[in-house]
Amino acid sequence: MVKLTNEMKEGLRVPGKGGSLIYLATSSIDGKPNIAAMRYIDNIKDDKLLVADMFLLKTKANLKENPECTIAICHPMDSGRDWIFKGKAVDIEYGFPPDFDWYGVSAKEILDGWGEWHNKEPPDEVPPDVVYSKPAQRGVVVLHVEEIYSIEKGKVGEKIQ
Amino acid sequence: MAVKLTDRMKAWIKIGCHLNVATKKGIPFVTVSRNVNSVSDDEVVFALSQDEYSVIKSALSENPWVAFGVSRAGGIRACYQFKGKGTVDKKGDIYNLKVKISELYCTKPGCYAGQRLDTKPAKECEEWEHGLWTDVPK
Repeated sequence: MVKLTNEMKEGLRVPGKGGSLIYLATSSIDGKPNIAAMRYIDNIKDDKLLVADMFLLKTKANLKENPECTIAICHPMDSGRDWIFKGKAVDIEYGFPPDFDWYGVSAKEILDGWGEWHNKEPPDEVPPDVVYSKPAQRGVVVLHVEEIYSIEKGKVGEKIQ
Repeated sequence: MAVKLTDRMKAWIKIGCHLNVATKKGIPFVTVSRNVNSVSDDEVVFALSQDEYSVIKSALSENPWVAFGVSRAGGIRACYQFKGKGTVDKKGDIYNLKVKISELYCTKPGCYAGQRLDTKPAKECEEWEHGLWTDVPK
């Protein structure tokens, strides 16, 4: 069973709070990959990562047919945050039954805590020509982490947990 | 319609990229390419070390699709996703992964997220991009 370290939890917060930008990687059920950068990242418990569903399109479609998912640190990298997290993810959208359960966390717990993410952690550090003009959160992606690997130079692919 | 990467896209790609491949059954595998050999209008050659390649070797052998985005600050400023099919050629200790890009997307948060760019004529794509960003990394 995976247990996120304190160092990982510190690095897996929004960049505005000293955390990291991440890449969210998924695939269609027949193997067409997709990868997109995300700003809103956090954790719950010791084995789950949360990402805001702000403008997800293909990622959302992929997760609806295939929960296999990978999160990789995108930026800053080469600074000791050299991790890849693999597991199964669901996009808990508004309207999910409150008691919907994903490996031990409920939809109510997730949406109550991270459903208004923009208000809690506005993207003040994001450059004006990149930031969205209007927040449009539709849910929260919850990755149940099953394996953690390194992407450190010279150690890419080495299993950490 | 043929893909034609803009000069801005090419400059960002050279910084290094995160690559995602998948098995035929949809299990994703992500690796990092810190070195890029060459970038042309529709083709990128990533120079992967043994460890960087080992992560994707098995999946790539059964499914050639590769999706990639730019690493480091490119995750913020280079709001693109590139997709295509890849082939590998080993030279010495380096695995050269050549990706022929066939799909190009904008990933800027907001109304442009998911906008497909390779369906625009090249000049129109360049003008559209220029309306959003003019910075080109050195």
